[in-house]
Amino acid sequence: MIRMLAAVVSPSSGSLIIDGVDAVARHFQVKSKLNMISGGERNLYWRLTAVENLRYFGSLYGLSGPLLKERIRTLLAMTGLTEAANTPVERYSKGMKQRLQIARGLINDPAYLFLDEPTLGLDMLIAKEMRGYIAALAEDQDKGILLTTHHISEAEELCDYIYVIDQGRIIAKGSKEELKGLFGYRQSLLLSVAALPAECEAELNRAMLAKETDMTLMADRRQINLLGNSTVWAEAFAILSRHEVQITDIRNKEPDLEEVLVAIIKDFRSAQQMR
Amino acid sequence: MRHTSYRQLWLVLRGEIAKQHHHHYHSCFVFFSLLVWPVFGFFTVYFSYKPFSLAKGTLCGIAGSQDLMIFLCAGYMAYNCFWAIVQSAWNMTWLERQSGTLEIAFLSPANRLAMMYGKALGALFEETWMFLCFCLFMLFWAHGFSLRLLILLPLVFFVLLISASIWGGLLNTVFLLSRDASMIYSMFEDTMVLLAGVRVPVGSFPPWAKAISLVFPLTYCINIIRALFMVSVSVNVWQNLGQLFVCLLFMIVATVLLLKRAEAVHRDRGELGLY
Repeated sequence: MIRMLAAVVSPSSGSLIIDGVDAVARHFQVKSKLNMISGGERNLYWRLTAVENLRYFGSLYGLSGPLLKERIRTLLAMTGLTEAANTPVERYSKGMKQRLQIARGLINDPAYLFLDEPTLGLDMLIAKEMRGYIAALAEDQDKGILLTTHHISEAEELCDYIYVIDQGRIIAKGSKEELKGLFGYRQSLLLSVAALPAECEAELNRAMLAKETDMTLMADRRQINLLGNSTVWAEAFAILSRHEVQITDIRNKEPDLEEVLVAIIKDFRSAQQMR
Repeated sequence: MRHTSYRQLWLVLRGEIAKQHHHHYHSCFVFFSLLVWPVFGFFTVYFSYKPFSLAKGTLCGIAGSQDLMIFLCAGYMAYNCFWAIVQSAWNMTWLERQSGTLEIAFLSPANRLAMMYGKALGALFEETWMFLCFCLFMLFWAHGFSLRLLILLPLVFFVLLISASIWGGLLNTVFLLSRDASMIYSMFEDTMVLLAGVRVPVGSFPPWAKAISLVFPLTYCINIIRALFMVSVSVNVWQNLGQLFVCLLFMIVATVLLLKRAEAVHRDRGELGLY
């Protein structure tokens, strides 16, 4: 899919419009606005140094002279490779190769960047470092970034909008919050109280009913589970405070995006089997 | 219609040549393939001829051992250029497919024809200069130093450079079209040596072999060089230049058409990254 969007491969059906240009029929017109970064250690010349690699890929985009030199310098500084600029890539660690890939992907200053599993095979610390670079690209350099990943936490950390694809089809899309809202997955608040007077319980029930929020009493009426959001919960706190109810513990349970996505995919697959 | 400026074409050509250079010169062992093996091959043939009478060689312009030296030098000098291109096309295509850099290069809007000829030119400069120097030394030694030779040499190099680059561009394109085109490598190894008349005069071939020899631009290059350096050879230089021009023109047209086909196939099947 990434290769299709990056105008390397033609789609078998549908259309691809980038900035108003038909990127299937006129793919050469959009190529200078795009670039692609894949996970892993490929896509670089290992016997060449970082500078030689960037100089070559820059030349393919018609860059030369002081402009190319300055861009290489900036990208190497940004990815922390200045000191290793003249070391052959074969001597780089995995993380350094991946950082050079990012520099290569930015050599033409693309408006749109496609990242294909950019943290594939990296250890936790380097993967976190990579996620930092990617976030900075979107925030500081205003790049349009499309990232594919199997790590849901990565999507949760980096993406403003998520498409869930299964068997080549988009089965759900939306912001993190919107996706979490699907299938009734909402934030919940678990309050433990010393004791819950009947009149307080009745007032809570009425208030939560009015807000259309689920409330469940558990553990011999000493635990209150509230769905909803902070507005609803503020009202619950006010009621408990008015009745001088002692709160002994508070736990906020965020719905896990991974659980949500697994549920979405399972639901999609079972619907497919039913057909 | 896509417009590519001459400056961009030059940048792509220069980028490819520089990349080949940085990729190739990484150890002193490279001199074995640049000089030692070609020189061994040359002397193997030269000393294979020595025990036999060269009396009948006068028919082909070989009147003695000095003529034989010039005959073989001309053949090997031209063959080395063409064979270096075959090897390089095969090696680079394999390496670039394996490292994923071929697909990344095709992600850019760089002129494809310039990329193919750049790869060929890069290989030509890198892989032949040492053996060419050796052949020049041998030519001067056998032929004697003359002003005529000094004037003719740039012309010879120009013809060789243009012919081998166009030949290389075609081969690079063929290898681009199919990762299973390795049979071309094996096919040309002995066929080109024999049928282009590197070691044996084409005049001594049966008619069917003479007909096949016309397919290789190397045949015309060798004929032209021998005619220029061996006074007794009865070859029409202008006729061979004309035939070479037609042959090269045909190869350029074939390269353009195959390149379009190769990109269309890869956009359709996405096989550039397969190896």
